[in-house]
Amino acid sequence: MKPVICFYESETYLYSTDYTLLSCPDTTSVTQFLNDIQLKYANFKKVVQINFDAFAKNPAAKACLYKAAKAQVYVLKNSEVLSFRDIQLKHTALLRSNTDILTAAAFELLVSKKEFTDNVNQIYNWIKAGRIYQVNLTAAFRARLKMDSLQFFLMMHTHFKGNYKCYLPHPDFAIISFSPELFLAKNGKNLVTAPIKGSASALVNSQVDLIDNQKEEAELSMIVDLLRNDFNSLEITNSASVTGHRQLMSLNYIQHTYSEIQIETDKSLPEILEKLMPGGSISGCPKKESLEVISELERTQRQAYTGTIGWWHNGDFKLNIAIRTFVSTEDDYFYFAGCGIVYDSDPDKEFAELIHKAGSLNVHYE
Amino acid sequence: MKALLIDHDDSFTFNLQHWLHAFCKQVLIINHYEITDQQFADFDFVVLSPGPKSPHDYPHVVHWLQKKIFSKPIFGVCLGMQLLTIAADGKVEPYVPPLHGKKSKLETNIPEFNNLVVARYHSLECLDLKNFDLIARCETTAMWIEHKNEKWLGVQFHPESFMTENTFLLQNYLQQWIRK
Repeated sequence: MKPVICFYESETYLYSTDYTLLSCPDTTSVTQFLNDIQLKYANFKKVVQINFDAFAKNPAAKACLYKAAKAQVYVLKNSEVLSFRDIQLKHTALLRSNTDILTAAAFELLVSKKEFTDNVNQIYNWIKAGRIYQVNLTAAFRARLKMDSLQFFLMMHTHFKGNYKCYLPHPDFAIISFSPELFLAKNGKNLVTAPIKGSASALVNSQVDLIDNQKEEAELSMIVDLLRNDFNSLEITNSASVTGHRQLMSLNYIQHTYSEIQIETDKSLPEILEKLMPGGSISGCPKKESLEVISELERTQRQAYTGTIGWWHNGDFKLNIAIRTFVSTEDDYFYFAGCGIVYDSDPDKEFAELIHKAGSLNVHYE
Repeated sequence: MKALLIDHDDSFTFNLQHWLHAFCKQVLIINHYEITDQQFADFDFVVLSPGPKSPHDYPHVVHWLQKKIFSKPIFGVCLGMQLLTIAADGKVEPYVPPLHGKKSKLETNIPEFNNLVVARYHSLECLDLKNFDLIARCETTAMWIEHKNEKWLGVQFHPESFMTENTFLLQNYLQQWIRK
């Protein structure tokens, strides 16, 4: 059995080869699916994966890049807490490959540069007309590559920095996430989120390009108000508070700003996700209208990308926003990237940011 | 006090609900489509939320305002103020450049609010405000208006945003205005 691997506490991972994989049937709501698991497996450690539009009442009837359920839960019967080094030592055979993935795999952008920048211009016109303030516009890349997905996870690990990495095997595909973004963490009654908005190349001066930049500030500020709103929807008497704003996060090739919002709540994971998904930072503002825009402009369903992945144990959980994420199928590897489009977005710069978010991947586009 | 908050499918409605809780015992949220079937007798005032699109996309709300069904105070935020403007023969037109998630200082004759830092999220502005008194502006655009005859108050900025400073001053003002 292939292991399921999920970020855990302080740079360790949950690692399990002894688990039951449960998939949410099409006819069951995700809330119902999670409620049943909560009742039946409360004391088990679980790894949860939920698609971007899993809670949508009328999900977009669009092409899927691969076939998968809207949500999956791995119930771990046995698991270990390991460092990445320990995991490498369990799979030394996979590390001996001479294949250089970065040159072997050409990731082809599945939309043309023109289509992407046209969409940015369309969003610009809608912002001018008052329809929305911000939309997270994304696109998929595909590489024809036959490679063991666990090997891919282990070998690409150093190319992406981030605290929320995971590897989720499935008989038909695997999800490989190198996410740097925390969606939700609950510890006792404390619920926290840490949205990322604002990006610049690691090569530039972060003070000038990120901290002093009003466009980047506005992009994050509106998502902070949006997530305060989503948190405030959970409770009447406790209010959300902004406990950090515009902190710098430096990754290998890119730097970001992020904020932190907290609230005290007794609500459970299914109730919280039903109100909060999809995450504000990867949808837009106002959220409901921006989801319409995403559905109108993006070609394929996002599925696991920009959904959420993480662990769940009793009432506590920690979930990422599934960005910097790959999905491998029998013949292909898919990668996804996106950017927040606001009124002062420059289409060419946003396209450059989209490509930049592919890090050191060998990317091709028309 | 009991408030009825009309939600225009916005992403800041729950922030506004929590903001109103500073002086309201209860804040009931309903969707704008429910406005025609709603009973209003229980409420001390109505709040029109911000929201996407233009006030012309909500003709049922403008119609409700014009019919003067609710005679107690009405407070509009952002799109809410634009709805009050349209209902009182004003105009709402594109504002260039739109400001979203940005901060400005209010310009007003009320000393405690002059230079107050407020959050702005708008692509449109209210013009032709002949039936309103202008309480505050930013640059040349109306930020805070009060109807000359109706008990209607509107703000273009977002008092419920974390970027608006000393928002308790605005909560006190609104509370007193409702009681006046």
